[in-house]
Amino acid sequence: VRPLSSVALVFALGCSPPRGDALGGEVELVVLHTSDLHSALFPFRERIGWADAERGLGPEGSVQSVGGLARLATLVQSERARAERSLLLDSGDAFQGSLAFDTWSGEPELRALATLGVQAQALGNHELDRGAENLSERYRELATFPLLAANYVDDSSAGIAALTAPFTVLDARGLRVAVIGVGNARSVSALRERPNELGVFARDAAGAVQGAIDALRPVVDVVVAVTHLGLDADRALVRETSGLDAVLGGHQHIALDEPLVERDCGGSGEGTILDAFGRERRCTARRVLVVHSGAYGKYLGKLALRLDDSAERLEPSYDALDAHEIVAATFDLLPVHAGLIEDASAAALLERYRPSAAERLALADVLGFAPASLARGGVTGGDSALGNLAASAARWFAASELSIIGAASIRRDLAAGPTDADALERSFPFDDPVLRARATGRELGAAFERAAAVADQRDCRTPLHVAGAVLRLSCPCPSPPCAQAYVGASDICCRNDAECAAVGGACSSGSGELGWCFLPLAPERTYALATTAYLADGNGALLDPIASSARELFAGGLREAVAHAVRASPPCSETAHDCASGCASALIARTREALCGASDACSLPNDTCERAVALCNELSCLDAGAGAVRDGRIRIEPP
Amino acid sequence: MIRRLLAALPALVAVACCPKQALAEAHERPKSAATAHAALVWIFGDDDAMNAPNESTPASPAANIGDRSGYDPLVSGYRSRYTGRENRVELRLGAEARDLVPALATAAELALGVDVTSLGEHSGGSRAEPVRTEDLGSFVELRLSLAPPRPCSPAPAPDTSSLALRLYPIDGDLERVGWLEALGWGGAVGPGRESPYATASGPVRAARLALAAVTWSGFFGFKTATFVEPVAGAPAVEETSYGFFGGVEARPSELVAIGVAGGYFEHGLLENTERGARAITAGGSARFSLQRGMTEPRAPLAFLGAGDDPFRPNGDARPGSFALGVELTALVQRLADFERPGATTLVPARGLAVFGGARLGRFETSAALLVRDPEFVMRNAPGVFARSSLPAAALRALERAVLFSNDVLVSEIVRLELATGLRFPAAVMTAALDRSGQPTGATLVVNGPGDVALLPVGTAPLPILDVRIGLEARLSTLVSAVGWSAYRRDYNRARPGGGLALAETGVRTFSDPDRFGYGVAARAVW
Repeated sequence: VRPLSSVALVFALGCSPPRGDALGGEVELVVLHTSDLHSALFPFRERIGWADAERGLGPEGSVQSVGGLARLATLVQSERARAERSLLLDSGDAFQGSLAFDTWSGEPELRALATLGVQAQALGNHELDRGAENLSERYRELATFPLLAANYVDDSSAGIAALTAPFTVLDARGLRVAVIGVGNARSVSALRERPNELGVFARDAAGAVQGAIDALRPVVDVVVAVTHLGLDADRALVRETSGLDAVLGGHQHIALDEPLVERDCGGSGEGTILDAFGRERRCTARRVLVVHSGAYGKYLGKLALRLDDSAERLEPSYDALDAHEIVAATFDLLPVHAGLIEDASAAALLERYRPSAAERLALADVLGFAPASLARGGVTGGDSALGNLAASAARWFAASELSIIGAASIRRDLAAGPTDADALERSFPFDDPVLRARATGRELGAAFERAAAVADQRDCRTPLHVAGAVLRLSCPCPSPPCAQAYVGASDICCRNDAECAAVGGACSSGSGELGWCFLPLAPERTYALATTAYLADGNGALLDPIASSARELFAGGLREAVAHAVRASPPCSETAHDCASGCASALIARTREALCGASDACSLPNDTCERAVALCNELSCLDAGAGAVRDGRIRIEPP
Repeated sequence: MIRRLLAALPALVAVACCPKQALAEAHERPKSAATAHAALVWIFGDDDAMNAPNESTPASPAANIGDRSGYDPLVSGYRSRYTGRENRVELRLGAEARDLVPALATAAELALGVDVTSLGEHSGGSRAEPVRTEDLGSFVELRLSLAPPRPCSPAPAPDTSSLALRLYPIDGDLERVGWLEALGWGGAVGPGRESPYATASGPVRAARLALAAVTWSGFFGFKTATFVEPVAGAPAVEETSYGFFGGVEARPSELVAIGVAGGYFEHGLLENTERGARAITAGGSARFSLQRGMTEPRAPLAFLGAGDDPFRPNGDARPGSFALGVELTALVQRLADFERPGATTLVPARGLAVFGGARLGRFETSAALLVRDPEFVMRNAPGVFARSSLPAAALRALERAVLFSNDVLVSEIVRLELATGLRFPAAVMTAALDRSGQPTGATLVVNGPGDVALLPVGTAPLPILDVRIGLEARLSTLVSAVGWSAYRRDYNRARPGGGLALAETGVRTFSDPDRFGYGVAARAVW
């Protein structure tokens, strides 16, 4: 490229370019933030954990009605009315996760975001779940805000190439705020293919963001990034760039109670970064805030900033090019609870997308009964009851020796009580296709080693669940190997790993129950593996992409597999049902809600109680017999 | 003209004086006609022989049989509906009837364009593209002849003067202002149908009233489009934006043609502006041309005009014929004012083209000079910063292009083509010195909506050079054999190099700016 005379150029523009009549001195800005709404249009019931209780969603241990975009709209309006200047940004993944998305392919979600007043959105990976064409059609017709992904490089004139923009500049009552978007690259395998139907591929986030920062920094007051990368990647993004003021992120459904403070420009003091073209640039580290606001609309993130551009009041290292710097900040997760009145117009808008009475009755078609809630994550970071249920279901469904499913395929715990299609939809929203493929022991070993590395980055929590296998993962993982894998049960009973030492194996039970010794993975052997198409395509960075020639069959969706497994399980033998509590009580409540709605005058048929008890006696039981038990098959251990 | 219009009015009631004839004809079916055009092209070649497939953007496979989507060199408008280098079908089902009212001709046409390339892709593959079908301006037309009526005669009068109302029930976005594609505005332009209504919710409908006489014609039209607009604290609503346009063209002599047109188009609301102002594009276009032996000046290269439409070729000009023209467009666009938050401002956008062509012996030559400012390049997705004026501190660089083509008619059936183009792209530059004295900023190379490339601070965009040599042999009126080679040099795109940068880390380098491609093709057009 031909360099202009830099001196001449800067003279032409002025060393401190005029910023029009933009605000000077101290100003306040409230940035409201949502992320990973996942089609949670309507309130849903959830058991309140300790953290949720601390944030005001309800008493710990109680089941509360939380979320709902009409309530969220009320909260947004209230906060925006209170703030002198405010913005509302979304970090993506508004799509996928409910019957509404299955039915309407994103229409209600986009209408809801428009009603909330979202001003810019980062492109999430689940926005692409129905393909580029669906995304383009929906956003062109319904979005009232720009869809941002600076790290997506146009590779065609088709697909979403013309739909996304790298950045937008928002006007917050005189304060010019540059918003740079970053889309997710890891979870969309098409972004690694050329050509692909999306018409874009992914480049490094830091380089793309730095390019946008450089272009905008001379003409705006504040620079924020709205991302769908995940927390660790957000922190890395800050360290590898210079000039950001805040990062509002999503993807991992993390809810941060306080903003993380990360230093840019390498992390400390005087440093260098690479600009958008790979050239070194000197810079001085500044404090950058990173916030994440959870998922499903349970919270509205509120980042309240006090900004100043008076050099005499700021640190000596202040650079006038950064215009307004953050001098004080608070971050709150505002709970979206049942006490909030629904915004009438938002509620009216969403009502047409509410499942019909017939659909609600269909949802009341109870599949089974869970005596206790089934957690998606294990308390020690290893296997979990719901993860084991799903992995066993997938293995059974695809008639395989072992199964591997991603922990991210399971999005919610399964509450105790009757389990219906709606509950399964919320826990397994993606219905990832389950396939059977051939994989060598060497390939599986590499996948488990990667799982150990990922666990190391996830606070020692397993990124996968297995059936037909036993895993021992070392965490932290200073150097590989950090995974020991055992596949295939021997005929030796055991209660712990020591009892399997004779065969060099590991015990499938770690809870004192009787299990089987599993044998070490044979690198040269070929195994029949059940896994999801998502993992088989190389997403999630666990499995290497499995060639189509090694794929044997598609068995159906993961949710369908779990439903089959639930239906095939025997009833809970030791549970006595009565109409005042437990299974029958919950069924009666469901029947009342379906038939009567909110009407108190409505009465149920006289034999409702007997029928409920009879049904409960026949319902499949989601307990150990169904595979819904944490048995220690995946254990996270210190090295 | 008004007098003639009044004189024609009795024809509207002529049916009253000849009821038998009119009623008899009313039972006849309308005269209908269907035309279908198709273009099928077999290509073997490589549009980037100098780089590995992964190093080009868009990706370029090694030499093989088949078209390349997304490859769009300056001088050929590759894979456009104008070049005849793609596989497509154009279907027009028309009907015309002049039966009940003698002076009134009625017509209707369903016009569909189908890109049939995707039919060859495996339907089950994840990369299979849907078959794209587009409306090419289906219409219903009422045309009233303004020639003196001939009562009780079924034969229509020659339409030397007429008043025509054309209604577009499916998509009227092809109605716009301006003659050249590169200077058209207010509606769909270019192969990609770039339009200010691209974000409209649903189709754009339009109507056009045209008055034609022997030496002049005029038209007036309007269009409506629906946009989903946010409303503070309430669900978004569908708002209607309106567009009005009109113009006059005159041909006072065989040599001279003059055209003037103007328009006013709304396209959605501007967010965060006082009282929710609408984004507006308004302005005028004018064209003056001199020609002899050619109906109008030919654009030398595809992207300027529709002259390469395979289904409506210009035909060979006679030796000694020529045409020269100049077209100017001056617009103002109402956008959010970057410098005054909450306010709007009128942003000028201008474009100028001087172009012409001549046939001298065996040489057919055309050339053009095109100048457009960045705002004009982005007129259909207004604002380099979306829907906003540019910062006052930003520098602008005009787009300037010089385009030239020369065909040598070697024989009746063989044509040798040389085309070259040099385009200095439009750019917007920001720059300032940071605390340590390092220049900070960037150059935004403005190629068009959705196509803004980034260059390092303090760099001016370099001209993009395209050269193309082609040889076409007409084997029949149906099939031509074509061979070509093309070279492009474009330094203005900072592509990630060194392989695909996955996720959060990667290599950032410029890839090779040079591309050389070649191909041979058999092209059937009928």
